[in-house]
Amino acid sequence: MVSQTESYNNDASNTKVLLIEDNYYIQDIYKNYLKSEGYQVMLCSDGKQGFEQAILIKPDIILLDMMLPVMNGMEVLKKLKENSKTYKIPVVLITNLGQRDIISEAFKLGAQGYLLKVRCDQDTLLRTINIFIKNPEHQMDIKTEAVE
Amino acid sequence: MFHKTLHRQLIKIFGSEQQIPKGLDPLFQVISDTYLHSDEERNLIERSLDISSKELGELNVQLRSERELIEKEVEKRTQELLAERNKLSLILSGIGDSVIAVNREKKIVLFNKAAENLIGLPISEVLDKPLEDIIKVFDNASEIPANTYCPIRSDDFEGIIYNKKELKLISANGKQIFVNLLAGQIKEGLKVNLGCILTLHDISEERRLDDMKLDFVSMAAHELRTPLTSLRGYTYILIRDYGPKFDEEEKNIVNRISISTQRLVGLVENLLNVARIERGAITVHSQAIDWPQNIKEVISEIINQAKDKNIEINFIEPKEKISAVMADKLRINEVLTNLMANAINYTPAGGKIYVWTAENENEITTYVKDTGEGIPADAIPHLFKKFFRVSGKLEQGSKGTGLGLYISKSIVEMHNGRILVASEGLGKGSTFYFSLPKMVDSKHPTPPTQ
Repeated sequence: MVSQTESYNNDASNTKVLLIEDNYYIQDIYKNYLKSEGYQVMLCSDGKQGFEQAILIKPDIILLDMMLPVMNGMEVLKKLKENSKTYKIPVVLITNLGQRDIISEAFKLGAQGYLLKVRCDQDTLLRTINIFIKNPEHQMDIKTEAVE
Repeated sequence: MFHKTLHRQLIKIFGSEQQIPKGLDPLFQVISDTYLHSDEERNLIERSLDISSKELGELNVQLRSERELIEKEVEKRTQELLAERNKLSLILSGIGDSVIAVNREKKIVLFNKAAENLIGLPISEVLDKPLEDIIKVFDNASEIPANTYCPIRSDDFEGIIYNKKELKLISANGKQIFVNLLAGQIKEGLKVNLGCILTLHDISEERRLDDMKLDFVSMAAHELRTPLTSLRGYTYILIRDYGPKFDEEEKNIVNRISISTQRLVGLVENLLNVARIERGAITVHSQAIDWPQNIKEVISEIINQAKDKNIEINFIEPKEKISAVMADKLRINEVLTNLMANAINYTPAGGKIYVWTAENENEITTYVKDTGEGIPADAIPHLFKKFFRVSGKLEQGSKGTGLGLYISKSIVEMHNGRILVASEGLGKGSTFYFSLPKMVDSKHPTPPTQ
C-alpha cells in the first residue's frame, strides 16, 4: 500500500502552480496531487491559453507538457522566456516522450526541470516542485535525471 | 633403228632419211641408247612422282578431314566458352548481389549491373580505377583498409578469404549503403591477373525495415505511457484516499491492480530500452552510488509483487561498509528490477530470493539467487539473447517477453561489467550475478561521467 506523503511546503496555499497539459486524466491526477499538498492550481489545456494565463496570473512555477494543441510546449517555453512578465518563472517540463535531444533544446531555451510522467508519482512531483519554490533559480542536471 | 626423237632430229638436220650419213651409225646408236636410257629414267621419275602425288593427295584428304575435325572442336569449344561467358555475364547482370572483381593492382576489372545500382556509378566510370577510389568500407565508425576486406594473395588457395556482415559502404559519389561483404580468390588468379572477387549483399532494406520496426515499437510504447500514467496515478489516489476504509479483499484487489500496472510499466520500459539499445541510442551517465542503499530502494519498489506471491526477498547486507559503485542509477536499477522480477516470476509461491554483494579489488558483484524452477543447462548459452525464452517445462507458465536479460546484459556491459548465471538445473533454482566497477579513488567523489 502507498504511504501518505509527508508535507513538503508549509506555505503551499500561497503558491500558484500553472499546469499546462492537454490530457484530462493527467491534468486531474496532477491537480489532485498538488491540491493534496494545498497548492493553488490553475489548469490549461492548450499552449496558447497556457501562455496567456501565465502572463495574467504570474504563477510561481509552470508545469509544461511538450505536446500540446494550438501551440506546442517548445513554442510556449520560447514565448515565456522572451516575455518580461514571465521569463523568471521556473518551467518544469512534463512529458512521456523522453527524447534527450528535445529536452536538451528545451533546457537551452530556459527550462529548469524535467519530469517523466510515467515515472512521476505524487512524492516525486511534490518534492520537485518544492525544490523550485525554495530556489526559483534551481537547475536540474539533464545528465543525471531520468529523462528517457 | 634409232630412238624416235633422235631419228626426227637427224631428218631435220640432214633433210631426209637417205641423206643421213651411214658411217656415223655407231655414234648415233650410242646417242640413241642415251636417249632411251633417259626415257626410262624419266618414266621412273614420272611414275614415282605420280605415286608421290597420289600419296600427297591422300594425305591432303586426311589432313583436311583432321583439320575439319579440329576446326569443329575449336568451334565447339569456342561456343562452349562463349556460352559459359554469356551465362556468367547473364548471371552476373541478373543477380541482385553486387559483384566487383579487381586485378592484382586492385583495379576494378569487373563490375556487374547490381554493383552499378548499389554503388551508384556506371561501369564506364569505375573500370580500371583503384577500388579504394570507388568505395570505402566501415565497420561501425572505423574504416576497414582495402587490404583487409580485399586482400591480394599469391598462394593457390581458392575460396572465401574475407567475410563480414553489416558493414557500411560509402561510394565515391557519397552514397551510403549497408552490406554484407564476401571476398574470394581463385587458384589461377596470379596467372590471369585476377586479385580478388567481392560480393556485396545489400542489407539497406533490412536495416530500413528494422528501423521501421524500432520506430513502431518506440511509438507504441510511448503511446502506452500516457494511459499507464493515468492508471498508476488513479490507483495511487484510490489507495491513498480510500485504502484505509477497504476490507481485506478490496485491499487485495486494488493491490493487484497496482502490481499489474507496475509490471506493465516495466514491460513498456523494456520495449523502449530494446529500441534504444538496437539504435545504439542508450547513454550511460555513471555516478557514485551507495550500493546497499540502492538495492534496498529497488527491493522496496518490487516487494509488493513478491509479497503477493508469498515470496520472501532477503537482502543480506554487507557487514562492513562497501565502496560506492560507479553506475547510471536509472539504467542499473532496470537491471536489478529485471533480475528480481524474473526471480519472482520463476519462483513458485512460498519461495525465497536472496540478494547479496561481494567486493574485490576493482569490482562489486551483486547476486540474485532464487529457489525457483532453475534453468536447463542447454538454455544457459542463449539466456541473454534477444527474445529468448526457456522452452519446455517452463513454457507452461510462460512469462515475460524474452527481453529483460538481453537488456540487462546490454546495460551491464555498457558499464564495463559482466553478467552471468549459475544454475544447477531444473528445480534447483538459479543465481544471476553481475559485476560493476567500484569507485576506486575516494578523493575524487565526482568522477567523470561517460
